[in-house]
This record gives sequence, C-alpha cells and structure tokens, in this order.
Amino acid sequence: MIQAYNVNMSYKEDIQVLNDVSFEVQKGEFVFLVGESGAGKTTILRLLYRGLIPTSGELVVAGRNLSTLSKSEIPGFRRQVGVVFQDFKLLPNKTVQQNIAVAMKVTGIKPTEVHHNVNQLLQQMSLVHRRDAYPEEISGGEQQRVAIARAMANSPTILLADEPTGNLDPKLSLEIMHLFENFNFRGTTILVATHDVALIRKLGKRVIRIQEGRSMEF
Amino acid sequence: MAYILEETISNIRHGGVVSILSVIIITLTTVIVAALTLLHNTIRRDVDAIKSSTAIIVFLSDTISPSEQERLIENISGLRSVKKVVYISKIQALERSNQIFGEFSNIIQGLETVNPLPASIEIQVQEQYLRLQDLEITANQIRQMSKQIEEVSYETLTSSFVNQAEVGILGLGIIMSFASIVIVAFSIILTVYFRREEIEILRLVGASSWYIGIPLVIQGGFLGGFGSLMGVCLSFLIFQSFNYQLEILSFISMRQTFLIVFSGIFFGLLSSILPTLKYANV
Repeated sequence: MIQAYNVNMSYKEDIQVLNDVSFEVQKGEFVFLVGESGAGKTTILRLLYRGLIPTSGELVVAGRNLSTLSKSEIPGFRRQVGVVFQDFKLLPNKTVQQNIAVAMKVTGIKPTEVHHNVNQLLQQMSLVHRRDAYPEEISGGEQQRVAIARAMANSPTILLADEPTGNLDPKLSLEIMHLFENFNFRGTTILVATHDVALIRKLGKRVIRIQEGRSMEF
Repeated sequence: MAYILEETISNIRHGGVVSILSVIIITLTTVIVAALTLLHNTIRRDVDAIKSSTAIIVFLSDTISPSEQERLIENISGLRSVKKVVYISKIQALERSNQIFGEFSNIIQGLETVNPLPASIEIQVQEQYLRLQDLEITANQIRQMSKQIEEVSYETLTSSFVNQAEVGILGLGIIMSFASIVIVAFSIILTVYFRREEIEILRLVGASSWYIGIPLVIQGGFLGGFGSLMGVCLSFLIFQSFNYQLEILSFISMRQTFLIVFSGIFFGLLSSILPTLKYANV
C-alpha cells in the first residue's frame, strides 16, 4: 500500500532531512512511525500525501507513483488518503458537522448523501450531541475525533496521522488509538507518527524508526 | 452552485474591513466614472450642436454685383470641406438683428433707411474639417475667391478642443478603473491570506483548484458589480439633488448604466484571477 525507495529529502542544499529512507507498509497494516523530534517523521508523512516532493527516490502510495503524479491528479489522490494532525486543523468558522462535511463536499457528492454520511460518522465518533458546536466550544479529544471523522469521510484506503495524541492525555490518547484500530479492522491502512513509547507498547504494532533521517524497521 | 454562493458570501464576510473598503473605493470610482460619462455626454451634445451650426461667415462688400455674388456662392459650394451654404442678404441680416434685440429693437430703429449690416454667406463645413487648422485653410481659400469679400470669420471653439477633452476624460476613466482593479486584487490577496489555513485544509481533503479558486474569482466579480451598482445609485442621487437647480442635463443612459455595472463585474472578475492563481496556488 505504501512503498518508499531510497527517498532523500533536503529543504535547502545543506539541510538533509531524510537520507536514503526505504520502507513498506502492506495493505491493511497498522504501523507506527517513531523517532525523536526533528527526525523527519512529519516530512515523511508530508511526502506521502504529496505535500512535498522528494529530492530523490521513489514513493508509491495507494498504487500511485507520486513522482509522476500531475498537479491535476493530486486532489483525486488525496481523497484516497486521510490525514490527521496534532493540532487538528479544523475550520474555526464551521460547526462540527460542517467540518466533516467539507471533505465530502469537495468530491461533489449529493447534499443528501453528505448529510447521511456525516450522521453516520457523528454516531461512530460519539459526536452527535456536538454536531452544531464550533471547534472552540469542544474539548481537545472531541476536536481530534472530528479531525479523524473528516479524514475518514471519503473512506480512504490509507490514514496518515501526525502525532495525533500529542495534545491529549493518556486516556484520550488510548481512545483515539482504539478508533484507529477500529478503522484498521475494517480495512484501512494506518500509519501513525508518534514519539509516545507507552502507547506503542500498549498496542503492540509494527514500528518503523526514523533516526537521523534514516529508517530502521522493528 | 450553492457551495460557490456560500463560500463567496463567507469570503466577503471574513474579508470584513477590506471587503467594505473595496466596495467603497469601487463605489467612489463609479461615481467619478458616471460623472465623467455625464461630462462626455454634455460635450458630445455640444459637439453635435457645433457640427450642425455655421462654422464660417463670409461678409460681403455692399458693392458686390449679383453675378459675382452668384459665382462666389457657386465656388464656395464647390469646396470639398463645405457642407452647406446659405446666403443672407442685408435685409435678412437686419431682420435677424431685430429678432435678436427683441424688446430693445428700438436701439437699431431707423437703420432700415441706411442699413449698415453687410450681406453674408453662412457656411457649414463637413465634420472632418472642423479642426482649427482646417477651418483656417478653408477660410483662406474663400478669401482668395473675390476682392468683394470684406471679412471671413470662423468659429474658434473647434472639435480639436473637444477631442482633447474626450481624451482627458477617457484617460481619467482608465486611471480610475485601474485603481479599482488594483484594490479588488488587493482585497482578493488579503482574502487568500486570511483563509490560507482553510485553503490548505481544503487541499488536504482533496479539493480541486476550481473548487478553491472559483469562489475567490466570483468574490472579485461580486465586489466589482456591487460596488459599481452602488456607485450608479449614488451618482443618480447626487444628480437628482443638484440637477433641479441646473435643469439642463439628463442622467446617463440606461445603456451606459448597464455598461458601467457590467464593466465593474468584468474588472472585478479579471482582477481576482491573477491573485487567485498566484496566491491561492490553484
């Protein structure tokens, strides 16, 4: 589902972030991407959703070679890849249900279908009672659940999460991970970047470690 | 469609002060453009009046013979620059004077016996020969036709002045329109800046460039159209308030009104395309 071959990434000529990184994630896998702050985890995730283009090397995600992906093909590709961030990245002027709906609306599906799908996701994420609230009116855990619901809105084949529990307490962090496990159980491939060692131990999933820009698998 | 409207309104609302400022500047620009159009209409009307009026008057000597007078009229009529020739006899000239003086005509009473007014030939020239230098050439040609010509006078308010005024109006209109384009573009740049995170999120969830860009372009068209409509309405109110004193002008035509509003929409759309492409990276 995800293949990285000898990926190098430097932001400027003298700042090498990734150095010959190679790894694979199989379809339906749940994998943790770990490493110190600044190790290059976020860079890898940005490369995987085509937010960045590698300096060299090859990335194949959901069957698409990202180096040959044209600008007009990016929106279609991103609908197959859900992304969750540490800071949630919710639209502050939209309600919970509108934040989830926005991901469906961009695909051009009918409003009735959007309404139906949003209701399903709200139920799944236990957010029905918060549907008309604005992001600033709900807790951090709820905001992250909204962000996950938005990422899953178009039933992507891959879910990328960048430090999704970084702003949450251990109990909420575990709750979020159980949500990911639930989606993974239904077939979504999950790649979570984190440095929360306790969480990784509790879940016991495969780990890819990034150290000084290089990848090592465990 | 509902999405485009929803996002356009949301953009304008979030634009806040900048959106309001854009509309105010476009409104003021439109008021100036409407005033310039009104000025243009007035000048055009005057030009038409000049075109249909006498441009050259040839005053004849009292001693001119009827045959020479006839030959002179014939020669003048034959000039390429001449449109129409009217002979005014001494008696007709006096009658005109009486009409002009009206109730004060007693000033010229007694002139019937010794009429001092000369006979004249009034000449209308072709539109393309109304410029000052062309009138001079025609006047010189006429002067050389007969020694019985006492004086040749011609209208000095020529269309060249009018043409210059029109060019000035057009120039000012272009400058004002350009200022409006810049301010709408600035408003779109600020909208993109304020919405940069939202645009980024839309991209992440797979929004196409059209999906992100169209509401921004429509926003530019809306600001341009709304501002110019307000401007036309404000111009009409100002015109109504002042024209009851002047009572000489009519407001810009319906066609010109539509042209101004549609130009506002067009320039609004046009000025938002470039910043949308550049700053929203669509």
